Parts: sequence; C-alpha cells; structure tokens
Amino acid sequence: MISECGKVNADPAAALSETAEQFLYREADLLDRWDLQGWLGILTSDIDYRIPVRNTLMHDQPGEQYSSTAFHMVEEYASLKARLDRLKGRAAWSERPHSRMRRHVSNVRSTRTELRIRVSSNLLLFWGRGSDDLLVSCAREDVLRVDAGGMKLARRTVYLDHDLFPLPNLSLPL
Amino acid sequence: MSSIGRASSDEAPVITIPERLASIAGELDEGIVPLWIYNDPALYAQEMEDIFARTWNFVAFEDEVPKEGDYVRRTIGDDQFIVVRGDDGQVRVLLDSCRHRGAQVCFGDRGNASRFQCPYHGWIYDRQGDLVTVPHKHTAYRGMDQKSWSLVSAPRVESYRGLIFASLSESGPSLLEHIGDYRWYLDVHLGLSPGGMTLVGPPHRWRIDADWKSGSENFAGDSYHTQSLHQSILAVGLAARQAAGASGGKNDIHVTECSGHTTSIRRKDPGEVHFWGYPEDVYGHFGMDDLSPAQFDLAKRSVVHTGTLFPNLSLIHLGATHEPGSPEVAFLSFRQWKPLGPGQMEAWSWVLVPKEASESYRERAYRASVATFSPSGNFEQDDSIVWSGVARNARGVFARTSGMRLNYQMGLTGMSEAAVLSDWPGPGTVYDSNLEEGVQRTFFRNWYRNITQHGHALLGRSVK
Repeated sequence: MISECGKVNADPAAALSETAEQFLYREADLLDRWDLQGWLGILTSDIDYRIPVRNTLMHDQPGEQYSSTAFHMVEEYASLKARLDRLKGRAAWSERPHSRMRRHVSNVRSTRTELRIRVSSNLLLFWGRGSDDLLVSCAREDVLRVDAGGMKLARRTVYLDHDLFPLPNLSLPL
Repeated sequence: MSSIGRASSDEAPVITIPERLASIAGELDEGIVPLWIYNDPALYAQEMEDIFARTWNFVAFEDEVPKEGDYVRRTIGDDQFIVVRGDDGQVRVLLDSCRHRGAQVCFGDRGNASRFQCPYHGWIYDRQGDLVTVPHKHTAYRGMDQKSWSLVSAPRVESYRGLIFASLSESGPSLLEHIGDYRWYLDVHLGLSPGGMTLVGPPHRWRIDADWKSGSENFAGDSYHTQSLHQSILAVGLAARQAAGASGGKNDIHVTECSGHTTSIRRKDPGEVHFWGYPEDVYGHFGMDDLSPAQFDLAKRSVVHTGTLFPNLSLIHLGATHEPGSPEVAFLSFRQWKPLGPGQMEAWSWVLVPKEASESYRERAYRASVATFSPSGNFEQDDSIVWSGVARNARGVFARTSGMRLNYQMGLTGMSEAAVLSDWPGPGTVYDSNLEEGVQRTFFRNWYRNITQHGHALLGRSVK
C-alpha cells in the first residue's frame, strides 16, 4: 500500500485511498511510539474527538447503542493537548513506565469531497502494562482535512465494541 | 489466588476467618489494617453475605427510571436485578431470573418495557414482576397460583432525594436510619438547587482489578494522596491548587464517625462565595428552602467535597476544567465501587449538575468531569493503577502470614495538630484538619462492625 515517495499514482481514486490509509497508519505509529507532540501536529485546531459510551439496548427500544450524552472522552484540541502534556511529566504515575500499545488498523474505507476525506476504519489495540495485557476493539469514523500543512485529523468518533469499558484507565486516544 | 487450598499439607494450621478477623479488632482503633483484606475469597464471600445482602445498596437514580415501565439493570453483590418503575409509579428491584428455570428475562442495560418475557419457555412478567402469561397454563398448570410465582423482589426499596436504594434484608434499619446523621452533608449537595440535581447521561462503567474497599476508603477522605498521586493535574492546570494540591489547608476539615459515613471538605475563607466553582448564573438559583443557614454557608465556601456513604457509594463535588486556562466549572459525581470478586470491581460513575444549569453549562461541566473523574480522567487514571497494586499485593500468602499491616494512623492523638472542632454546627466527629485518617478508620470500623455482628455461618468455616 505504501507508494514510493513522490511517485504519482496513475489511478487518482487509488491514490486517494492510499493517502487516507497511510495517514491512519502513520497516526497509529506516532501513538504507538509515544510521539505525542507528533500526534498533536496532525490534528486540526478545531478537532472534535469523542468516544461515546456504548449501551446494550433491546433493538426495539428507542435510544442509541452509542450515547449522545455520555462519553469516555469528549475532547477538543486544548483538552487533548492538556492530557498529553500531563503524560509528559514525571508524575503521571499510571504511565510510568509507559503502557505498551500496538494499534492494528484495518478495513480502511474512504470517500473524498473537496478537501475533506471521510474515513472509516477498524482498530484493534493491544494494551499492556507490566504482565497484564488486554485488547480493545473499536470502529472509527474520521474526517480528514487537507490544508497547506498536509492532511490533518479534524473529527473522530470512536465506536467501542465493548459495553463495559475494558481498560482500568484510558490515557491515550484510540 | 486465595489463601484457600494453598496449605502444603493437612497438618497446616487451620486459621478460621473469625480468628483472622478477631486479630483485626484490637488494632483498628490504633489505625492498623491488615493487607490481606483487600483480596481474599473467604472474606469476599462474607462481605457478600454480611454487608451487601443486608445493608442499603444504591441501585439507580429516579432520573434513570422516570416513567412507568422504565428500567435499568443493576447488580447488588453478585445478584442481578431489574430496577423498574411499575404502573403504580413504584420502583421495584426484581431479581432478573425466571421462576420456571431461572433464566434471565431482561437483556438491555436500560429501556422501557411493558413486560419481561423469558425466552426459554415463554413465561411473561409485567412491570410489577407479576407472572401474567404461562404458555399451556390451562392444559398443563391447572390450579397453579400465578400470584405466588412473581419475580422475586428485593424486600425493601426506598429512595432519598432522587437516589434509589434497595436492601435484600427484610429487617434492619430503614434507609433514613442507615444514612443517619450523614443526611446533613448529603443535603448540602442534593438540597441546594430548588430543581434538584439532574443526571447528565448514562453512567460510565469500567473494570478495575482492585478491591471495592479501595475506592470506598479513598473517597471516604484520602486528602493526603492528592499532592503525590495527582500532582500532574496541577502542573497542567486542570484543577485549582486548593482543590487538588496538598492537604493541610487552614480551612480543610474531616468529618468522621457520622453514622458510619464520612466526608472530606476543603473550603474558602469565611465570607467567600465559591459554591465549588458554579458560576453566578447557576448558584444564583441556590436557596435555603431545604437547608439550614449553616449548611448553606458550608456550600457557599466549598471548594471540594469527597465522601463515602457506606458501603460503596462515593461522591465528589468539585470545580475543574477540561481546558487549562478556561474557568473551572463545578459538577457532582456519584460513583459506586461494585464488588466483582475478590480484588476486583466494576467502577460506575454518574455526573450531575443543578437542574437550573444551561445546556452549555451542562456540556462544559460534563467535559470537565470526563477530563478529571472518568476512565480517562486525568485524576482517576492514576488512582486505578495504585488500587490494582494493592489488590495484587494482598493476594499473596506471605502478605497474610507475615502479618503485613498497613498504617492508617495519621492524626491519631498526639500525631498531628488535628483537633475536634467543638463549635462545628453539623453532625459527626469533625476535625479541623484533613491531615488525619479518622475518615478511613471510620470506614473500617463500620466495615468491621457489619462483617462481624451477624455471626453468619461462614464465620465458622475454616480456611487453610
């Protein structure tokens, strides 16, 4: 999937798809490597980031499987920056040492309108701390925006497959 | 990973739970608690029987089941219940288990139902839990008294200011007796706004490999941990130093021995108006209709309260922000540490704001709550890690056999300047300092009283 740098792909639709896909891979890599500054650098300043609480509702019940009022994270740029700034300090005890994370991004689908790209993807996160490890599974609906600085993440909603949130805490974005 | 079955031979000395508990008794008042109680299967079983099956357990907010047929699924100890409002407006707490074969009859976390149908053989119960349909009843269950096959309900359900509690015991103190003098402090949070406090969304639920008592004793008033565990919050400016920084401020107090419940309170100077950080357009609605002048004055000066209503319902009321540099916004969070097994819990958290708050205020307050006290909360992230370590350590044999004891002694007579306030207008034994651990000693004394007073059969069970 990774095309050679600078090479123009003959099929524009394929190039578009690769670009969005590559963006997600690069983003996952930044977080896996704890390059928090690098991750902040690929967000738009008006980013809307949210992880709604999932509920198990009967299918004939009004309401949403994903809450519109309760979130595990509901963030803007400043709040995400504050979270990551805190983790850089020596006293963010739950991340000393850093938890081990590997993001497996799959099933990437994208559509482009003007300078916006809508991308859907699946994410399987391996999470480990000490001898404990867990998996988190979710789908993500993103909006990427292209500006002079390149492609940036403008909107993300994370749809957890878990009803009971599986981690003892969540310090980095999904 | 228990102490049960770990003995190397039949000749190993048999240590019974009562003996192990008896050894605690004399030391609690000296502020000594053994480590093993944070992860022990026999003790957990006894807590289920002697605490959770007897006491008043918070199950839901009235706000979660406002209309007839509204329900939420909740647990009390290891039992699963449907908390449902019946056609008569009464909330019932029904065991989610069909009377025919015991199968589950409710499958949603919440919703509205006219009936609960068991998928196994099709028995159907109404919103009151009464059995209304039995397939082939007239041909195969002639003479069956349907009334005696209702869903089993918690014998006592009562609510206080929008909080619904259930007791699985027919007898015992009423809910008001259980809350006791602690009402005075609960009312400061729940009786201030004329419209009451209202929920923002369904609760957070997450799993922590830690004992329920870790959450309860921390929120009972661990004012001491903030300066170490939560110092990173101050560094990035998500909460004010007075709320999240070191204990020992001149206006900080601890309420101990308040009918077995406790609270830790940090205040502004006399005369200052703060109300945890609610802005004037919110606190302007607050009134004294339900509160005494002393309660109102306490609310006015309040910066942060934490507290635990025994056994496992905690609260935190504070101002914070999700975005450094923007004004802090106040919110009230109730959290419940639901036991899920020895050394394991499910944490639940609900966020409330005064009914008079605007939509935009609710939104900001909710964001501040997520940024501070939630599974991703910048405060709470660090708590869960510490508590897991306690449970991990408590399960070892040596942790028990070595007599490993924990120090809960801060502020015992002569150890600190903490002194009982003689002119405090509210109930409880109230210290003029939060550099003391009488709050946690209160929790453990109450826990010990509950766990030993019933002489339950388990007490005689021997454990190797």
